[in-house]
Amino acid sequence: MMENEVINLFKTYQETSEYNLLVSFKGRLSQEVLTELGSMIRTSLSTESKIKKIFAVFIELAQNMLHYSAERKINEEQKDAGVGILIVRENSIGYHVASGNLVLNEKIEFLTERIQKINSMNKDELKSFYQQQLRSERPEDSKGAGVGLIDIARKSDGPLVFRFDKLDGKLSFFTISAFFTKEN
Amino acid sequence: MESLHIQQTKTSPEIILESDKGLAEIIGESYPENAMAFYKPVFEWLSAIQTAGKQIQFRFQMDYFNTSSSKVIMDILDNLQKYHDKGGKVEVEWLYKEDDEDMQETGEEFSSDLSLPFKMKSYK
Repeated sequence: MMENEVINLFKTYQETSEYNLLVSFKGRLSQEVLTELGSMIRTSLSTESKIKKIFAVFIELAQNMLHYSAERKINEEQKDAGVGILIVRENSIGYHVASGNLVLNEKIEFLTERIQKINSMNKDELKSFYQQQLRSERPEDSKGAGVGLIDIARKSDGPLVFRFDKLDGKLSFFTISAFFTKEN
Repeated sequence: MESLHIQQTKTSPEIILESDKGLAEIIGESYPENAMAFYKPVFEWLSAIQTAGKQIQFRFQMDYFNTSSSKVIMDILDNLQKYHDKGGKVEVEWLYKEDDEDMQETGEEFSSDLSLPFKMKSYK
């Protein structure tokens, strides 16, 4: 039998308080969990004018994680699901919606170039890029349209912020964050 | 060619496919786990209706959809445009809540490359 250790949650509690988190999730995602987290966002941000945009960006990040996180677990329905972290945090000037999950090192270059290209575009250029990508063939191994990151950039305010933390020769932890300014 | 009524869920819209009238409606929110798989019946219905040479009225009344669903909607519109180009009778209606500028703009973006009848309508 395992001994019931005392788990010290104080540090975790302090950190999450500091971050002012509206929603935070770490673990194996599923469509059901994603839906519930989405409902939580709608409840806690019901008076926010950008609620639809924030919700949409959260769903894109969550579905990216569900489908493409390099850390996978089989869920109850024997379906393969991605593992990672999702947060929505509020501060005095706005909201951060961010996700973090493992990716293969070989994807770093593609993701970096993609995000830098998106960040270099203005709203009109993003719109054309979105339209052009939407009308092209679906990327291989993709369940979506290959336009998720463009959509996130179009809906959010300011550039996408991202980083890679290398774990080993094979994997890195990929964090990406979108920001929304408060209107009042 | 069967009519079909798919009930709305938290992550998928209500879908009404009426074969007699050639009427298709997609209503609600769309972010299913696999959009391509979810919308497969719509493409099967379109194929059957078009084989029969019927007229099609396609109505979108959506509050939100994710990018995967956006791609599928583009595919539906491309499919309708091809039918129109071959002489099929097609009409698309894009309904959006009157204060939903994003959904209005999305409809305008979708229709910009199409030459089939495409009506934008707001509702309260």
